Amino acid sequence: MIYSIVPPEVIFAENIALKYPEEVVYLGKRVLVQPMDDRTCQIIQLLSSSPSDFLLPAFSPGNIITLHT
Amino acid sequence: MRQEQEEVKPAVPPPSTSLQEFGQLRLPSTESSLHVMTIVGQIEGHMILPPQNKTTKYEHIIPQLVAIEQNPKILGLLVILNTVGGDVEAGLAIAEMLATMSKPTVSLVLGGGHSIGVPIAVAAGHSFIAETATMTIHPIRLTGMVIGVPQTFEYLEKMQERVVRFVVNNSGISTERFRELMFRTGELARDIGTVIVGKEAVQEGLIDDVGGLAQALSKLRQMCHIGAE
Repeated sequence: MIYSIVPPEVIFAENIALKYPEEVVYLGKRVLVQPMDDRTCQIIQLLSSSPSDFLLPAFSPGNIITLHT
Repeated sequence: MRQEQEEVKPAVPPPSTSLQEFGQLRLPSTESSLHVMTIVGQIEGHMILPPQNKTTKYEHIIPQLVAIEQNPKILGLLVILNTVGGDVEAGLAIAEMLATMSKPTVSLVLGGGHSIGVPIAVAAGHSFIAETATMTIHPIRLTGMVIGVPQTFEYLEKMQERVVRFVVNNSGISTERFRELMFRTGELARDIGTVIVGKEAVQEGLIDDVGGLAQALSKLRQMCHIGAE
């Protein structure tokens, strides 16, 4: 049950152009990324509660990273 | 000899474990004894919301709260809220966890702390609201197929009561006043309810103080009995 000021028709609007971000572990920290191709993706958000992690340039949102499989 | 050559040139290059190959250095990180949690966008709970919604997920927040409670190096938690609301049970779960943590917690409402963001804001040991931040208090709506029977309204009332009871128990507002704000007409364009801004939230007894980052952090340090870092 949703309790939000955003109308449900906006929350549940179908938008096929957007993809769900994925969660990966990058350099030991969990990040939310938007995959670009097979190996590269763009950082959306660093999932950490430690404020010092957000000072690390490697985890800046928008950074394009290469994942090793 | 032959065996050595094979070892020197492995068929598959080993996966890299550091950033070295990108020409970047790993910075020495200074561990902070105060941790920060940002609750932004929609609070996502039992259902995955379509990708146009920016969400904070309960599966991220709940284990992090457990880790913070258990880590002896972490002394306190600052929760920063800028949320439009979201899943009732996810919001209440986060609020209950915050309220029952043994470590000092401070919340700071920036921008907006609407709907289910209200119980999360009041759950912290001490709450702050920025002068320009707003909180919308409104009734829970029904979405999807609604069967027009008394049970539907009873269920809705029960869900609402959970939110009202939590807010009243964890802040200085009375049940009567909170319900009055929730069901007020003539204030919101397409809904009933109230928008309260900055110091109004403090006057209503919902939030403890008007303030920003410096005030929130100094209060948290004071609650944790630590000096300026």
